[in-house]
Formats: sequence, structure tokens, C-alpha cells
Amino acid sequence: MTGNIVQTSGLTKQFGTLVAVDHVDLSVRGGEIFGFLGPNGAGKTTTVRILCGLMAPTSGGAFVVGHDVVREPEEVKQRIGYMPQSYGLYDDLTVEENLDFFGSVYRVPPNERRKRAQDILQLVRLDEFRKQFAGQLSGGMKRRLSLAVSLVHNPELLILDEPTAGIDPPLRRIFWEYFRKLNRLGVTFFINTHYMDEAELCDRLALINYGRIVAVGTPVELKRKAIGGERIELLTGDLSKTQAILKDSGFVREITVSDGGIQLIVDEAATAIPKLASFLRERGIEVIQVRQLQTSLEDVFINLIREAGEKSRL
Amino acid sequence: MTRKEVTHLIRNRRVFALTLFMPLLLMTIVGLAFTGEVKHITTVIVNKDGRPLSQVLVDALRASDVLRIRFYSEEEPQAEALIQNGLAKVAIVIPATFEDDVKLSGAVVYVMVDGSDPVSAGAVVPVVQEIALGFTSKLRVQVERLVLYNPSLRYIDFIAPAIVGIFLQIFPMILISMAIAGERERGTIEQLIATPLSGFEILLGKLFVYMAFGLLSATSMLIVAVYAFDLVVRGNVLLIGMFLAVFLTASLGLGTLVSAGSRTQMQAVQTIMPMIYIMIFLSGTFYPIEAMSPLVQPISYVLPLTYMIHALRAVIVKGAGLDLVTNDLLFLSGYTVIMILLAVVVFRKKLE
Repeated sequence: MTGNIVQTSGLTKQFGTLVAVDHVDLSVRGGEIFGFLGPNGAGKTTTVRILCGLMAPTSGGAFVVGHDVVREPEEVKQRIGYMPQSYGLYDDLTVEENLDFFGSVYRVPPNERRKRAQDILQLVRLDEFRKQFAGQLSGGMKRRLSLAVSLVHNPELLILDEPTAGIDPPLRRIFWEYFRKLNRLGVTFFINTHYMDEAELCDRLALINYGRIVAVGTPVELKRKAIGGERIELLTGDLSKTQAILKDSGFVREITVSDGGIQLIVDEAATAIPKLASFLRERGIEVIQVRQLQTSLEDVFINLIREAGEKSRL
Repeated sequence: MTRKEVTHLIRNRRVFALTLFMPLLLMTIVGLAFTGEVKHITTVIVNKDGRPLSQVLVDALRASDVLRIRFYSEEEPQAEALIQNGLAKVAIVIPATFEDDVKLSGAVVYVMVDGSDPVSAGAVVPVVQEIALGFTSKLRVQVERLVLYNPSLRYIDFIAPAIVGIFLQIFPMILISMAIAGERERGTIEQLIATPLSGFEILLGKLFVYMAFGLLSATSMLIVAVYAFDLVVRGNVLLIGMFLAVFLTASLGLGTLVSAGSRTQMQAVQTIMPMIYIMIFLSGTFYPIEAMSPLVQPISYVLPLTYMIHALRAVIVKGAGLDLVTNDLLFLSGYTVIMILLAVVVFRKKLE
């Protein structure tokens, strides 16, 4: 066993002929915010349900917080928090009663439960609504309550299935503030999402499509991988001469010229930019502007999925 | 619009089956259960005379299809015991002086009936009277009715125990199946099974609540029957309580099974509805089972409600002790154990 908080090997789940999760190998390190990114129907929900011990895998296995999810699901459940995609709390109980019920179910002692409920409600800013019936809360507040419930027993790992799906951007940002705050307190996050802007905020990402892992890495690594490096835009006095010189320079991977300037792909933008500037100046070319171009994860995602598709067709 | 509605109806297979078969089922059951006349009433004959004339009367009684003469006895106490333990519903007593009386002024034949079943009790006397009249038109034979247990043959004494049984069969079953299907419908089941609670604990938590509720309701029903409608409870209250508890557990088990096959509360209720009709009409609630068509009698005898109602009537109205309802208790206990085991197996703590 490695020290990973989540470790799966060959995890597979079949529903009839549909292979929802196909030999997934994942490792999540303690303390990180791990994003599980993929389009709808890619197998994200099925994967986390298996990780939470709600569903048995068809084959393969997973260790979560050091326990086998198939053989010791209760051990796993006691130590992780789970926020399902669909809101699943009791509408006819108040905010406080919901928290208290789940606290009791996780066997949190009563006085600790009360104190913990207070802290969590403050964190998700629901303390004013503690006496309200959950059914009367707005959609966003229900989500916050859902997050609160997953925290009642002080879990070391939070597994969140699209926690911000259908939530407006300001509230999403607030959610991520909570995640960061909790993460600083030592909670590891496993977050399903199909929002690219959210994926950017994760420490590491796994891309999944049609049940298969397409790529794993930090957002920066994934971008590099997807386009074979980093992108730089260059504006000089003489574009065609620049292009000719750089072609044989050896440290540029790809060059394309457009009206606005020259786009380059290099291994690492941070080291390439100063080198590039001095290299061109030495050869008498005026460098007007040089800057790194941001790649959106969306492009990365589409690129990597296309690549994976081509590979699998071969 | 109409076509869309028809499509909805057909796609929803449970409702479709319900609309299609329910009317047929209901009418068939009612038709087979309520045959119109009470027949095959189990009878014991006490012929204390034994001379030819009394034999002729016995033969005439045997020829009737209303009576099914199962026993012959010498003494009334024996016959009464047969009625008390439910083996016979009626005893026809021919006095020792029957032949003499007939020739002199006119004889009296006593019909002892089981007051806990006023339907059979009411039906049997006119029949015996008719047979006695046809037996000889010249000689006078009078029929006198002796009612055991429920002397005024009140229908409430017959119905009240049955209603308690029906209530315990239906309501806890509906409540628990709706409670479980409701968790599934609202999506709370996912959050719930993500906790370290075992499936057995979740089920047990629910069972306890509805158990308490069921016992409370059944007790309040009996209290109302006793204080407002003068139901006389002749048997042991603890014995009644034992039956209530056992039967209630079985109902809850059955409700859990129903919920396992239902994704929504609506589906659970739709599944239960046809079951309820069969149970109510075939369990002998309103009409003695012996009088039903032989086609449906086997169903009656596998319905736990049949045994429950039999036992409740025996204990409440006839004051029967444990010895007389042992069979009912054994059947119900066995059924309960099976239901609960199935419920625990079926209520697994996984999503599918």
C-alpha cells in the first residue's frame, strides 16, 4: 500500500452491456484537492459511488482512507464525507435537525455534535437559518446544507459529486472558498466536476471519458501535455525574418504566423521567454512584445480526448 | 391529448396492469367469496334419543348442503367444546325424549350456535327449522336457538376483531413501504447509505417506530370497540397483545418487501392495493370461509390475515386460551419469521 488516501486499481463497473467505469487506476494524495473532470455520463458519479462504498465494483478494487471499499465499507464511510449530486436531505427536518441526525448516525457524541454543528453552520453561513425546515431553503442554501452534512463527523476526505452543478457563479466561488479553507485544515478533496474553471482550481486532475482515464496531472502539466508545451505570442519588427531564424534555433517546437504575430510552442514559457528575447536581439530583430498565451483547460480537454480517441482507434 | 394520455397509461406498466386487471380481479373475488348463501357450516350432532325417528331427522339434516356434519356426540359439553375450539360452528341437539315428544305434544330440537360468527349462526336456524318442518307435517317439531358467546348475535362482536386484524395488515404495511420508497424517491437513501449505519440498523429503526404506532392504534381501536360499542373481551388481554405484536411484525416485513420493488411511494401503494382487496374479502372478515367457493378457499387458508382474524375472534369473543389458538400462533409466527428474514435480505444497503 502506498500512502495515498484513495488508490484504485483496475476499477470497473458494468451495467448490463454498458461499461460505465473501465479499468480506472487513480491515486489521490492526502491533503490535495483532486479534481475528477469529465463530461456528463463519463462515469464520474459511478466511480465516486464505488469509492464511497455505495456500490460494488464489477471488478478491480479501491482503497480509501486505507480500507478496502468492498470488504470494509463501514470503515471507509465513517472516515469520509460524501455529498451526492442530488440533494438528499430531509425536507421536513430543520437545518439543525438534519445536522444532528447525521451526526448521531456517524456516532458523534451529543455535546461534540452541537459544537461541531455550530462551527459548520458558521462556515457555510447557515447559522441564521438553523431553525428553518430544509425544504424551505433556496437551492443554493440546500447545497450548503448538503456540504455541511458531509462535514458533521470531521472526515479526513470529502468526496463531492458535482457540488456546484447548477449553482450561479458567485455562489460557486464561495463554495471554493469553503473548500480552500477546509483544505488548509487538512481535509483532502475529491471533486467531480465538468466545469473547466473549477478544474483550474484543483491541485491535480484526472480526465475521464467513456469510463476511461484519459490523463492525470496538475492543470499546468495537462496543458503542456495537450499542446506539447506552452504557447508564446511574439511580435517583432520583421515577422518573416523572425520565423526563418527561429525555425532552426532548436528551442522552439512549433511556429505559426498570423496577422497579429507569431505563435510559438516551447517546452516551458518561463525559461523560453528571456532566452528568446536575447536570442532575437543578438540577431538584430526588434522585439516589440512577447507574452505567454493561456491555454484553456477546455481546449486541453478536447485535445486530450481527441488524442485518446485516435489512439484507441489504432 | 388523448393519445398522449393513453401512451402514459400503457408505459406505466404498474398502473396499466392495475386498470386492466383490478376490476376483473375485484369482481371475481367478490363473486367467489360471497356465494350468496351460507353453505357447509360445520356441524356436530348430539343425538340423545337414537331411536328410528331421530335417525330420520339426522338423515334429513345430513342431506342439506347448508350443513356439513363433521361430528357426532353424546353429550352437550363435548359439542360445546367443539364449538369453543372452532372445529364446529353449530351443534344440533336432539333430546332423549324426542320420539315420545313428537308423538305427544311436539318436540323441541336445540340448535347451539357460535355467536362469534353471526352470519353462520343466523343462517343455520331457519334451515334446521325448514328441515324439521319437512320432516313431518303432521307432527310438530320446534327449533330453539341457544347462542353461545355473543348472545345477541351482534355483528360488531363479529366484525370488530376482524377490523383490528385488517387494520394491522394494511396500515403498517403501507406506512413502512411508503417510508422506505419515500427515501428512495426523495434521494435521501443515497445520503443515508453513505453513513456507517448498517442496512439492518436502518430497517430496525423504521420497524420500531411503526411497530409502536401499530400497537397503539390497534389498542385504541379495541378500546373504542369496548367502551363505545360494548364489545366484550372474554379472553386474555396479554394473549391478544401477543397476536397483535406478531402479526404487526409480519405486516411490516411484507411492507418492506413491497418497498424493495418500488422506486416511488406511488408504486408502493399501487402494489399494495390489489393485495388489500384479496386479503379483506378472502380472509373471512365479513363472510365465513366455509361458505366461499372452493376455488378461493385455498387462498384464504394461506392468508395470514385469516389466521389472525380467527384467533382474535376466538380469544376476544369466545374467550379462548392459548391452547385453542396454538395453530394460529404457530402459523403466524412462522410467517413472521419468514417475512422478516426476507425483508432483511431484500433491504440491502447498496445502490443499483
